[in-house]
Amino acid sequence: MRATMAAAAMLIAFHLAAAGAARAEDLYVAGYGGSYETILRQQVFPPFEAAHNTHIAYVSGNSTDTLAKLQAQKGHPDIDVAIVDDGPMYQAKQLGFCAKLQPGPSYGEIYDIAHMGDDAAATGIVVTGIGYDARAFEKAGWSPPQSWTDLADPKYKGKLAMPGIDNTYGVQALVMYARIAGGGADNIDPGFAYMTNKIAPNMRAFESSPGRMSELFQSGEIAAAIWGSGRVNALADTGFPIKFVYPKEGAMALFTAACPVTGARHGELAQQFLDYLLSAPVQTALAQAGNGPVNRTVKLAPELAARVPYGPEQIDKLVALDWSKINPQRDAWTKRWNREVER
Amino acid sequence: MRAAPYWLSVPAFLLYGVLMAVPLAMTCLLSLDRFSATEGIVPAYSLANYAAVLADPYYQQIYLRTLWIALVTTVASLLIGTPEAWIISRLQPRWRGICLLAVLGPLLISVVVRTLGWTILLAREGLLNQALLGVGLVSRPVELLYTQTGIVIALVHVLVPFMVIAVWTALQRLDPAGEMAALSLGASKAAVFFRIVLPQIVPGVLSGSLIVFSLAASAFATPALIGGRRLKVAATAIYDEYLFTLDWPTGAALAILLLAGVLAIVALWGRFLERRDRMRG
Repeated sequence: MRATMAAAAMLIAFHLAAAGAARAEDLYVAGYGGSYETILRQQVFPPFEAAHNTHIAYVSGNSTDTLAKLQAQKGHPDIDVAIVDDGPMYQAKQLGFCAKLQPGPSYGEIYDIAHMGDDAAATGIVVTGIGYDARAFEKAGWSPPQSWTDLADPKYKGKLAMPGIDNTYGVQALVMYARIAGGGADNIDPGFAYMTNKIAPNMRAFESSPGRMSELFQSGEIAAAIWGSGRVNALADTGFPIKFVYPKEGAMALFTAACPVTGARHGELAQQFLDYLLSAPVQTALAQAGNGPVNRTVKLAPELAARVPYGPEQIDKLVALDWSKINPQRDAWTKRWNREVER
Repeated sequence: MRAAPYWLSVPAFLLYGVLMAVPLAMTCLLSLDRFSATEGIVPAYSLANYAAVLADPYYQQIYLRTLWIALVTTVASLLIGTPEAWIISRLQPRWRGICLLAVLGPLLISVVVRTLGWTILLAREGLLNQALLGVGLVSRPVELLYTQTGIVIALVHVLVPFMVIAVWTALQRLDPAGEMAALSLGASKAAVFFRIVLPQIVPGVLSGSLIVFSLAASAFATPALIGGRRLKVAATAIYDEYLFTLDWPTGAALAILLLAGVLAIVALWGRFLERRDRMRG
């Protein structure tokens, strides 16, 4: 009886110690789900895990989800590296979630526009534009949408979708429509008026989850959506006849950004992982997920280069948003959006 | 000797205290704080959040919608669950087991998986619309996704088992002699159900309604997936505040108001039940 109790106690102690040891070595990375997560898990993580003898635990969520987690864990974070959109990244920096970067070798190879202060860096570029179901458009006899104002056409009633304002795509669309209607980030009223009166009636749903958005396309609920180039490419890769349009008035640039988290348990490893994200092989792999490389030295094959924003000339043509103007107002815009647009 | 019951209840007390009372108290305190986009959550002991929420027509509409959905779901579950429990209790034991399993089936599957299944069924080109169009009941697809009706359908699907269980327990305590006496005196089956059985199982029906109402009022995954972002209920509005605006004090105030509302209705219901039982002697 005594022997079995002692053996059981030792077994439990051993498991606790082993579990503790395993947990201490896990690097926690928070970033997007869907196609981005798949590429990370299949191509990006294994070489890093092998080289540094560690295991990466991935926590997936939209930028706002990850920001909320950082807020909840402030001071004693579980997350070591956070990957979010550029807008939320400026919020994270302001709220003190990002630790100082220790630039590694790859950091010197990225474009100047990818520098985001001394505590974060852009790790990829996607474009916000219009994705449309080519087969559904052909069946309905419609020509593909060419501009943002095309989406106000009453023939699309109930056949469009877009992410909500909790998503960077939604904020960018709002600012773009404000510009088209004569305002901008510092005069957002025309944008709200345009969205509420012309765009919202055509919307079947405001869907922020990329999985649900794909489902809406695949089940035929919607024919077009305001969406990102990366997501559209991922859906196209499954064989669905979705095509991406760079609208006439301009497509918005959306940077994915990463930063090491303040007070992270694996600060050293986090810095190394961030530098690894900026290195040429990883940037090439992420290009397959639809993220244009920020590393100057990356050379993409022509078919891949055609699918992502690549090269300074193409990137210069994209519309960049001033997040320092948008972030202080995002709260108020969200409240207004909930009450006016998303009804 | 008299202290023993108190000592014995300490483990349960600790469990509920730590897991329920403490987080609830923390949420209460959080609802009294203020939120600013630049500083985050600022401690300030004021009821400003409650005043803001109660005065805002946007939130008033959300709470009314939550109440309406919960009421309709409760009535529908009542109308479906009570006869269902009665019929199952009259089946032979072999069929009774299978039918009970079929009724309780929804509870065995994750709520998210189940609701995603409903989004496929309720879609414009989903099975339900295809069936309706094929039979000829409608000429154009019925809009069920992203509507209150769709939410109610999916909620009723998952909450009817709770009603069936509650009515089932009440049915088990019935004396079958009463029904047989009525039958032998010439009553029809329907008369037996409405005039003998129903009055006796009313407590079970009412307590089942309580459970269904509370669950429907606080439902999250189903309204979020089927209602979408346009049809917010209290639970999804709270989720919005916590995750998207990071305005946790307002989210906490919304949560406490939802809790208070449901508790008030449940307490009134309970009072009604008690008075009813007392009147019957």
